[in-house]
Amino acid sequence: MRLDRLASGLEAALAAVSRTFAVIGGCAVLAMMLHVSADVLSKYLLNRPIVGTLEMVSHYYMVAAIFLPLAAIERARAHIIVELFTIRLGPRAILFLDAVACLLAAVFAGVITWMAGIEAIRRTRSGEMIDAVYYQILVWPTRWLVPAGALVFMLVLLLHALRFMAAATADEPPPPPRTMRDVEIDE
Amino acid sequence: MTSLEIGSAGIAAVVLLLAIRVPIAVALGLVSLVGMWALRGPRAAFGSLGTLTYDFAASWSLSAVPMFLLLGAVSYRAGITGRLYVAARLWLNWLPGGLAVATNLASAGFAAMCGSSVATAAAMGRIAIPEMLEHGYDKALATGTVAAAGTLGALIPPSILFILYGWYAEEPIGALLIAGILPGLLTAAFYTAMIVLRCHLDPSLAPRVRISTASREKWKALARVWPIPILILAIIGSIYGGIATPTEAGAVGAFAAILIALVQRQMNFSILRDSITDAVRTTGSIFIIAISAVLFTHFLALSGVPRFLSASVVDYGIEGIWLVLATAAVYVVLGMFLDPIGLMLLTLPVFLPIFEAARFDLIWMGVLVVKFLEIGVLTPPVGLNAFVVKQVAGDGVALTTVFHGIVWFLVCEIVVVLLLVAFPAISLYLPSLM
Repeated sequence: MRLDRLASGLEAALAAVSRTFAVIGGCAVLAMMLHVSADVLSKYLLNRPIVGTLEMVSHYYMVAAIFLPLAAIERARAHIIVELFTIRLGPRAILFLDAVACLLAAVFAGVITWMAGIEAIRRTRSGEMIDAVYYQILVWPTRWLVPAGALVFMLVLLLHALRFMAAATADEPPPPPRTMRDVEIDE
Repeated sequence: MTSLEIGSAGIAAVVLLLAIRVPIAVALGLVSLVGMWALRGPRAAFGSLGTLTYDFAASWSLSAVPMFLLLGAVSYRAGITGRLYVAARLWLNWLPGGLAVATNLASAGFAAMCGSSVATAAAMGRIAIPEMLEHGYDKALATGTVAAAGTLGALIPPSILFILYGWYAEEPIGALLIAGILPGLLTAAFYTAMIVLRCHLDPSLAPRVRISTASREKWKALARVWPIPILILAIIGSIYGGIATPTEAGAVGAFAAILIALVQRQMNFSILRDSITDAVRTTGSIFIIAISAVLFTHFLALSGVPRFLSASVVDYGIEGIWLVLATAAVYVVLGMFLDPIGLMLLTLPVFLPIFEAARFDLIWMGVLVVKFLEIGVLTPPVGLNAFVVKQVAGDGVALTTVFHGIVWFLVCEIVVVLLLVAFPAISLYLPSLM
């Protein structure tokens, strides 16, 4: 009973973290749009580009927009898969395959977390900066976005693997979770 | 095992993993890591992963992708589909098969903005199919038109497929985006001519529809959609003229789309939030695949498979035309299982070295690859778009009926592909002027 409560507590925490990460990723996309637009306007109207736009877009907005939302995408089951070959399988088999797929994905996310984490520590120690014409931009903090996003992604995948496995071995397996494509079509 | 055997086993393993519902990114990534370990040991496999993931994401040229996706999501969420169709319908109704022509052109415009032929087919199908059926249009014509027309968008800028191809092939992205314009318009012209001709020869396919065509109403409908073509033209023009990079064009385009929607009272906080969610979700799922595709490229290069394949192509003196046909066959078959972006990232690591060995013009080949990818979502027995349209159309329409309608568009596609292959200038003339 206490284990159950612990599990659901962990799950809620994980949901909150992945939602927060996705919101930060979304803000990065919005900021990218505003920053680049401002740079373009300033370049053509005032003949004065905003120095550092390219560096901010690539190192901050892009990295945040790509790695932070990975967990939320998994929570929506929106990572791209091929469904055609398994279309005739029953719910139990599909749940089982999805559990295996989540485990494999967790391994991949785990390796990325580990390797990118080592890299982030190295860059933090050296205090990585890049040159933007007149001044330097601090970039080492953005190195941490990769392992952070990959870590939460891995935890969500492990949780999904457990849940799908439990569902696959239940007496009456529930229907497999809907994939992105079904949702898109009947929205 | 020799390197070549490990490489081939790797390709087979990817296919197997894809078949059992493993996400594309994971199948490509894990197989590459295991394969590189087998070929060169653990350091070769994992050593580059820490920097590769970051360096790949921190890219200015690929930042055009989230910007174009945001532009598309805003146009979609702000309800541009419906208004494009209403306007096209009022203006094109005088033609034989007018509703189908209107659907065709509205889909082309919408798909160009939204960037996904599958999403276009779903959105446009919900509006146009019920209306065409209500007016007694032939079911195959109505559904086939919706399924096929969404594919026009992949060639007309802004196109995510071209950005990803250009990044991978190290070709100028601006030139690729421009190269797609004429082939896209050519296809749209063929589609329109085919619909008009068929409906002219057999008027029972598309009974004449009487819509009140007070010209005030026509202009009013036009007034609500004119910003869209202007926006697309501005994006094309600024990239073509070298005034803006694709990222800049995409960012200003998305900003302009939000402003237009605000002025037209189609924008509020929840629409903006949903648009950004769409853009972020698609960005993440595309980029994680692209990162794995880079790993897969490294693995295959170590195994020597691409070198072997391209050497074989040269040794056997395989002629260019056969190579193009073989590529077409592969894409049309694989297009049954995978959506275009995933399929392109999956296949380029193998195909691109072959194209290079055959000394193809990579911009011309890029146009053909995108064309093949979009034909792939149409072909029976399992074209993705046909399924989407069938689901949208409901129980009254059988899947075979949809395919019956699509066949006519596939005939157009064959003619267009032959023209593109025979006259590379159709693709290369506009970029040559840049």
